[in-house]
Parts: sequence; structure tokens; C-alpha cells
Amino acid sequence: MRITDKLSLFWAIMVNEFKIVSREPGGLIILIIMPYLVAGGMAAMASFFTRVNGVDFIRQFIGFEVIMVSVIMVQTGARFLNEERSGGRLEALMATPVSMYMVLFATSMVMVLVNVGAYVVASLPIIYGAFGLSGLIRLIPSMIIIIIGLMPLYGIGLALAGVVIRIRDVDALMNVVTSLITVLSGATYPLYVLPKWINAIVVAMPMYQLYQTTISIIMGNGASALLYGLIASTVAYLMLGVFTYGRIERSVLKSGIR
Amino acid sequence: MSAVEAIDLRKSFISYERVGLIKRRKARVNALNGVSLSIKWGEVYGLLGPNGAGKTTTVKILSTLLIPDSGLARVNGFDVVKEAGRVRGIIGLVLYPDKGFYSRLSGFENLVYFGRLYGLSRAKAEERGKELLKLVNLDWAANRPYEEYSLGMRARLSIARALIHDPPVVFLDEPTIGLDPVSARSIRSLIKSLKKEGRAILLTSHNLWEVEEVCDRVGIISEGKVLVEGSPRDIKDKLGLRYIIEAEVSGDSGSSIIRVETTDPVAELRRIMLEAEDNGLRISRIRVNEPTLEEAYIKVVSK
Repeated sequence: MRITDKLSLFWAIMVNEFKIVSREPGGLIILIIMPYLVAGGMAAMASFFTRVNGVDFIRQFIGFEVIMVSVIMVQTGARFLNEERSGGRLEALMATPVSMYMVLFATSMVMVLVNVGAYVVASLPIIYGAFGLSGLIRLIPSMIIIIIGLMPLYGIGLALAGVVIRIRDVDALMNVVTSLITVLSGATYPLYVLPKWINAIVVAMPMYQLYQTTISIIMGNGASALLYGLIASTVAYLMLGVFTYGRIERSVLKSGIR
Repeated sequence: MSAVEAIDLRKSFISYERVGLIKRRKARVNALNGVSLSIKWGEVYGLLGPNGAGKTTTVKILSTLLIPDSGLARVNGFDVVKEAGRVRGIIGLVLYPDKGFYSRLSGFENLVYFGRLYGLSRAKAEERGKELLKLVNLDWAANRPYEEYSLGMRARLSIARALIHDPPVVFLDEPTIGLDPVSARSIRSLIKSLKKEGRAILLTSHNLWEVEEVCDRVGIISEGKVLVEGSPRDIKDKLGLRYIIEAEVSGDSGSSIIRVETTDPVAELRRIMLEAEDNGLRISRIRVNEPTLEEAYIKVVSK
């Protein structure tokens, strides 16, 4: 298959996913409103103990935004596969000559774009309010960082998607993953109360790297060192995801899709 | 070269049986115990068998969705394990006729999407989608969301999807299950027209009458093994199933009905006619009841 054919196919899968997402708009609205609710709630609670300034609020807001997109990104592949299986589409997709990697990647890219769009819409007023026009300019590189930062999360999602093909209890798995992401992002949980070894894990997690890099850029501190770490994570987690998913798909072809 | 060829396919699954609150026991279930079959171009091959006989497992192996434990299967000469990608490009598959589409998308959008996945350009996929919706008589519902389709409409859309890339080989796993007689009939006539186009078709069904009407050759599978194979007529002959001949003869003393069971209806008819002639009797009516495939099926499966 020529590269243009592959790109055309990739685009077709994305268009299809966009159509499906656009016909379920409720989720998109929640994606935009939720960070305000949660960051506002957290700020209200924190203000009992100390004065919460605008910068704290922005940190919490961006933190929650990062958690949300991270959770969605990690879950996208797994939930997609689960829905395809329960809807009887998984075997129809696997019976086509298209690689499942391409299907998963294209559908996840749609979620990346939707998430980044929601991030921009949700963050725009608050960042403009705090930093003015310079804040809006910094929003552009932060968008690129989010796109890059979602890739390693896609890798984790790919590994989870492989597990999901084998097990049936997807919701339980996703609840555990969501809780872990919330703790390991470093955005909501005070890291100094955690043991050192957990801190080491947190630093290696893409959610934490994405959160720190995004905050650093929004605050105007630059993020070149953090960016290298994020890119290294992207490569490592994508490789892990591709390897794990490939192995599990092969084993599923031996045991059958149930 | 056969369009589809399976040689000694074997497949077993591990099942975990509950033997207590927590404890589970591993059990091996043999789904296929050496299935062999071949389908020629322009032929409809029917795979018949009770539930759990191995029909769907065979279809899944042939359509690359399952890797056999041992044995060999080829579609148009391509190995279903080693050349799975090439096999996928030349087969059309109906696995679950009542599901397998995106509920929020219309029938037309679903077809175009799957057409794109099979490598068609957008324009070609749209053109083909329109053609096929007309063929399966769904053009009037092309833009309706799939979730609003009835069971019969869904089954017809499944067949349209199986044909979207114009495959030379088509696997249909119980395509008429749960359909009303009119829809089932339209699908049968569609299968016949696909056969006329020279495609090789594998059809599994519980409707024996349907298989007898549509299939050129039939394999009866039970406990993972093809027990009998041949044309419906061959199978009946092989199993020694009896034809029933009823002849109404009339003479000077009135009329009577002769009823004979035989495995050789031609010879028996000749004998009845000669005997009647010798005795000065006139045959006013003759009826030959052919044994059905159902009788053959029951005889094979209940052995």
C-alpha cells in the first residue's frame, strides 16, 4: 500500500470517528465545563487554610485539565475496543485488511484533537484573565505540548486495549486506571506525603511530565529540559504499547474473540 | 485450484468451569477434529450441523479471525495464517447478521466506511454503497441511522458490507437467521446471483430446506468433523435414504394406490409401469416423494 493510500485510509477512519463523536455532543460539553467545577471546588476547599491566588487556581485548573485528557487518552483505545467487541464490530474490523494499529491510532487522534480543542476552549478565558495577550500566545505552544504528551498516554492505552480484548470487566479496570492516573499525575495529590519510590514512579509517568511541562509553558518559564523527557517518554511508552498490544492480539487470534 | 481449501483443521479452546465459589477447573473443548473441505469457483457450499458442531469456528479460521491449532487452510491459494492480510482483501464476511455496524451512522455511511477500510477510494466506496443498497433493497433507508433498522434490514446490510469490495469469495454464517420469509427469500436469490457471477460461497445455516435450495454441495458437520459431503442428492444416496413412490392404478375392478419405498426410484418406477402394463392396469397418477436433506441430516447427526 502506498503512503498516500495509507494517509487516505487514516483520514477515512478519523472522519468516521469525528462523525460518531459529533453525534454524541454531551461528552464534549462536560470536557469543557468540568475543569472549572473541579478546580473551583478545590480552590474553595484550599481557601479555608490559605489564600488561593490566581496562579494557584491556574495550576489546579491546568492540572485537572491534564488529568482529564490523560484519562480520556488512556481509556480511548481500551473503551473503543470494548465497544467494538460488544457491538460485534471488532471481528468485522479485524476481517478487513487494515491493521488494528491504524484503526486505534486514527480513532485516538480524533480524541487527541477533541481534547486539545476542549483544553483551548476551557483554558482561553482563564489564561487571558490572568496573563492577558501573552498568556494566549503561550497557549499555542502548550497545545503542541499536549498533543505530544498525549502520545505516550496513547501507548499506555494501547497496552490496556490489548488487556481489554482478553478480559470482560473493562469498567473495573478503567476505574483502577483512572484512580492511578489521578494520583500519579502529581496534579491533585501532594507528592511529599508519598514514599520516595512512588515519587520516582510519578516522575516517570507521562501525565506528570505533561502537567509539569504545560504549567511551565503557561507560566512563561520555558520547558526545554522537560520537553526532552516528554519526548523520551513518548518513544518508550509507544513502543511498550505496540509490543504489548501485538502480543495480546496474536494470543486473541489463537483463543478467539469472546 | 479450489477457491477455498481446508485440510485437517483442528482447534480446541480452553474453558474454565466453576467448581466452587472461587475455584475454577480448566477444561479443553475440541471445536474442530480434522475438518477438511474444498469449495470451487462458482459453487455454493453449505455447512450444516447442530449448535456447537464447529461451523462458526470453521468460518472464523477461513476468514483469518482464528488461528487453527493444526491443519492448513487456503483461500484463493493464500494461507489464512501466513498470508492473512491478502486473504482479508479477497473475502466478504457475514458473521453476525444482526450487529456489527455503528448505530449512530446511517446504513450508507457504514457501508462507505467499511468500503474505505477495504481500500476503496471515497468516490468508489460511495458508488458501490449506493449500488449495493439498491441490490439488497435498502436504498429507501440509506440515510436512516442503523439503530433504527429492523433485523431483516440489518441482515441485508451485512450482506451488502460483505460485497462492498466485490470479493470473489464470500463466507455467510447463518445470514438468514431470524428473518421473515420474504427477507430470507430475497437473500437466497441474492446468493444464487452471486454464484452465477462465479464467486465461491460458504453458507452455514440451520434451515435445511434453504441449504437444499441454494447449495451445490453440502457438508454435514458434527462434533468438529465433516461426516458426510456431497451434493444434496449424493448425500441422500450415500445414506441410502428411501424415496416413496405412490402410484394410483385403475382397472376393471376399480382403482387402488400402490406405495413403495425404494433407494432406486428410476428402476422401481420402470418396474411398476411394466407390471401395470402386463396386468392390463392403467396408471392414473404417480407421485415420487424424494427424501429431504433434513432426513439425511438427522440420520448423520444422530449416529
